[in-house]
Amino acid sequence: MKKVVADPKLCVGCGTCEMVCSKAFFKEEDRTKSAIRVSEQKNGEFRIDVCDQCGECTEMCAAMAVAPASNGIIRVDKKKCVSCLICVAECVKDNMHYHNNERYPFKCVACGLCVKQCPTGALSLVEV
Amino acid sequence: MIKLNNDPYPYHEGMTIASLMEEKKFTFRNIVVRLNDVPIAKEKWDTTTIADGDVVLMAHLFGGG
Amino acid sequence: MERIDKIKAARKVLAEYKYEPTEIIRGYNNRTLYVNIETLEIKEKVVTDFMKEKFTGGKGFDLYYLWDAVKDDTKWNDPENEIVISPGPLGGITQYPGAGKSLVCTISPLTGLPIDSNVGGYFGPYLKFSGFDAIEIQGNSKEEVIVFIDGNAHTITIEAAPEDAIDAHVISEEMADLYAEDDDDKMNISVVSSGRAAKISNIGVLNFSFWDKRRNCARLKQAGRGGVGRVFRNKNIKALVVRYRGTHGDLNNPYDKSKLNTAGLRLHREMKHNDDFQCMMRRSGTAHVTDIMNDYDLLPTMNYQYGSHPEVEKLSCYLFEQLYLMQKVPDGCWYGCSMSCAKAASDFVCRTGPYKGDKVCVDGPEYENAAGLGSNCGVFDPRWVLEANFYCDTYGLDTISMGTMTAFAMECFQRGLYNLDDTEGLDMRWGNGAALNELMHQMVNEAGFGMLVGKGVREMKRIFAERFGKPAPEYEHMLKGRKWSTMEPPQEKLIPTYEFNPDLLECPYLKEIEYDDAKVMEEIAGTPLACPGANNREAFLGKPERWEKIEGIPTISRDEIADYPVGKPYYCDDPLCPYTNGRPWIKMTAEQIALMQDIGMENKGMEYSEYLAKESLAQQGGFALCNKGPQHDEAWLIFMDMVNGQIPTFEDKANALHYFPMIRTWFGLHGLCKLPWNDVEPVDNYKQKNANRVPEHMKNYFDIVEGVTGIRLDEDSLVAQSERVYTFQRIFDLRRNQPTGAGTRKGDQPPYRAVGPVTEEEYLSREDRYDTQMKEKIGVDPAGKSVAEKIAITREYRLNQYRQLVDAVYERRGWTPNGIVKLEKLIALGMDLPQLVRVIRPYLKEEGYWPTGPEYAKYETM
Repeated sequence: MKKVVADPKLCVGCGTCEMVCSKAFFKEEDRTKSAIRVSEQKNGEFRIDVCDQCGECTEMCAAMAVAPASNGIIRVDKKKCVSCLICVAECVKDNMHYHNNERYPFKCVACGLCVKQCPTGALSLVEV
Repeated sequence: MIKLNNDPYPYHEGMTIASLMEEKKFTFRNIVVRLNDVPIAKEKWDTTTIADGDVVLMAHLFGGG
Repeated sequence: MERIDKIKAARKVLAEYKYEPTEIIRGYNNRTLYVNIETLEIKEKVVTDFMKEKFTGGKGFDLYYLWDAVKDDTKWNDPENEIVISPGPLGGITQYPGAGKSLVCTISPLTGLPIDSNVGGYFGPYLKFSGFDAIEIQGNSKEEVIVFIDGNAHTITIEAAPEDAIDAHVISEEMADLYAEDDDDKMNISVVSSGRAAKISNIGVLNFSFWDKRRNCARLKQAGRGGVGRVFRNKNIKALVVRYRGTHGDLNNPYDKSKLNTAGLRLHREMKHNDDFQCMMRRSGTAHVTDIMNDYDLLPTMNYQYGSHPEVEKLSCYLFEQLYLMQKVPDGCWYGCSMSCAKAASDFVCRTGPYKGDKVCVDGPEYENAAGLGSNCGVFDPRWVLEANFYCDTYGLDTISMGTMTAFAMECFQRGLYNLDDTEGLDMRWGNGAALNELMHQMVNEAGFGMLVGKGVREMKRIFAERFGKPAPEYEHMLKGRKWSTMEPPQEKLIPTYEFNPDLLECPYLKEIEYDDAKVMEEIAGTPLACPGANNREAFLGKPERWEKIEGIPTISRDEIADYPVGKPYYCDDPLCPYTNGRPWIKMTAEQIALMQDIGMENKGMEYSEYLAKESLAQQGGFALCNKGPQHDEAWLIFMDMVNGQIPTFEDKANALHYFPMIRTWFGLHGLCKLPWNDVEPVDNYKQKNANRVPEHMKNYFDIVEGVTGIRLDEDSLVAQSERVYTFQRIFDLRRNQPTGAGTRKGDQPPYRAVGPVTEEEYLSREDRYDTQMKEKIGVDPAGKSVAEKIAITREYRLNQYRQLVDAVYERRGWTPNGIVKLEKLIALGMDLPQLVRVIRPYLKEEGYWPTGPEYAKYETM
């Protein structure tokens, strides 16, 4: 299974990853629709939040829409999802996202697009 | 004497919120405490002492069925 | 699949109806469905603005339709009686916990009044997504039918269903097999069914199913109280089935979804982070309450005599958790419920009955089941409790009434009011879990003492009084030398006896509490009863001989019973309850009948739910003032009143008995569950002045109502919505003109067991408490007084307190001292509808509360 791993020390907060992500999945550049989030800390450093595929969000999904795919990546199956957002609350790392204009929650599926576009190499796709 | 949940209750030296709760066998988990009408957070029950004449409310927020 | 093919082959479509799909607009389809299974008429009705304004939805719509469907004197089993089911405008939203409730109303066989029940499962939401805000079922079918709503094909069929099963856990799974296209599709099907015992028992329930994908079985939630299942089975309905594929979060077309998302997420997070140190609903479900109730002396034990019991560990939620419950699985009864309290014991193996040896999934234990079927019957064995829980559900019986009824029957047995002759050998001692289950099997087989218990406490009191007396010496010769088997009343100690299940000793929880089975067995050894121990099948298979008819004993008609002498044997028919053991009948003494009135825990004809109200005056009112009968879902005030001392005066209590019933009624108008309101709280709720009302959650409700309907409520307008329907229901009760006096003060009178100690055992068990109260509250010195005197003094005081409480509540609610809604109150609520005015007018005039003045002239002629 692959997952996106971030090295915040290399991050310059340009937000490219967020734009790439939202563009890929929602066809618009809107960081509130990105599955990876960059935020500036008080000390001026950046923090990168992205799903580590731990799977805790899957346990309480009654529709069994949030589940690991055959490659182990946790995915939201839109055919099954009933938009209750319990998975959003279950993720204590806040890496399951929702948007009021979208019907379904969304998360990082380790596609690697943001990794390729990151100008500083702060992101990498790691096999675990 | 103190007033506990609107009834008189005997006071003794060294009484804390936590000790009083144990004395009363208040085993319910979701209790709200006000000491002389000031809300007391759960973390402070051990260290909050009660004085003679205090008014204590230990309100069980019990939803019920 | 052979079985499914057989069912299919025998099916015959009796009526089919095609409808146009519509979109739900801000929570309403603005259309309801009417199905008459007798005339086979199926039609749509328009939801008017009037209905929405006055009745909101859910229970409000149910009662509105029911009022028009029935006549003043319609009986529960008349064809015009309806079963109405409605999910409410918020029903079916997936973003906020507890929003999948269906509200069910009908005229109850127990009370003769409209009953309302609030139930989970997927039926209500799927009905709504299929296009209907409510369904009315009218008519009594001559053959067994099912009604099928296909929400995707937009068709409704009534089908003859001769081969379909009746027991709920069987038919719910078979319907899923029959209608689902594949395994995933089973989640899109919900079944409403009852069970075989509901055919004869007044306490029939409706089971609403949902498919549990993880356990791969149908799960059942119950519209429990008041006997809706009996009406359902009397109509010859086996099931209502709905299929709707395509559930998602926008189906209600909410006005502002962001409000739903924000409020829902806030509560989901509270559930995740706070539940473990608050109510543990997610871990144990409502069963977490059992231990707490016991700690505060509130757990109904042996027919509400006591509030705690040393063996309660064996009904503890910790024990159930370790033995049966799966953790970390979503157990919500509708999507989006992160509270997830619908627990289940999977792979439970039945020990009795037609499913003996089967591995079944038991929906529970809920608190009410553990208390009602457990401690209240003295059954302290989790396996018998779960078995009774399972059979109640699948046979279509209400676990609460079943517990309370059996507890009453057991106490009467223990006190020698009837004996083994009367039960044909069924040992009704405290703790006989096997007998508890056997009663239900007897109901299904329509034979035996269970037939009688199945009638409910109110009927049992009548039947016992007519039949189960003892022969007076002067009439003994009529028995021609036959011996009356007796059990000397009362038992030395009314303690339960049981045979402990040794498997349980392996349970780590019991090891932890150092439970010593041998020691407990020693303590209870030597219980003076001829029968072998309880929990032993022999206990009720050792049947006494049946009685042959004795010549010379007169046969009288029912009308003659009233004037017939006490103690003299007679024969009589009882078409209402054909069970007879062959023994001649004998009337009970007045003292025995009075004892049964005191200890028979019913009000308005319905059994009490499982809380001890003796030490909480407000809760005594919460039960006996409840419109439908004594169910705690109107008001649960025990802790506020008894433990917290927050409502000390009559006025405080009356205010609480106004506010809380209105909040709880409100959930029923919207299709919501009460539990997420106050069984989890924000961590900073303690800072709130009125923390009991959980202000932040009330704000959530204002938000989600606005989010769906676009209407912003505040506390006053919320209470007003409820008060309109609550008042309507109160007058509906009055209109029904029942012998219980429901709708008037007479109907709001509790049995004394719900108010104070009836017997010496009860008084002595809490002697310090009662003596102290006598000294401090009544102002009488208990010293030197006999127990009987002290019971009498306590009784007089407590009944007087209750009277004053009722006065205060009526005043607060705008009713007359006889409990009749005043015309001025109706007008203020905007509920001065002609049909309501007509009902209250004669009462108000007779009592001198009919207002005069030109502004009231129009109400004279309504």
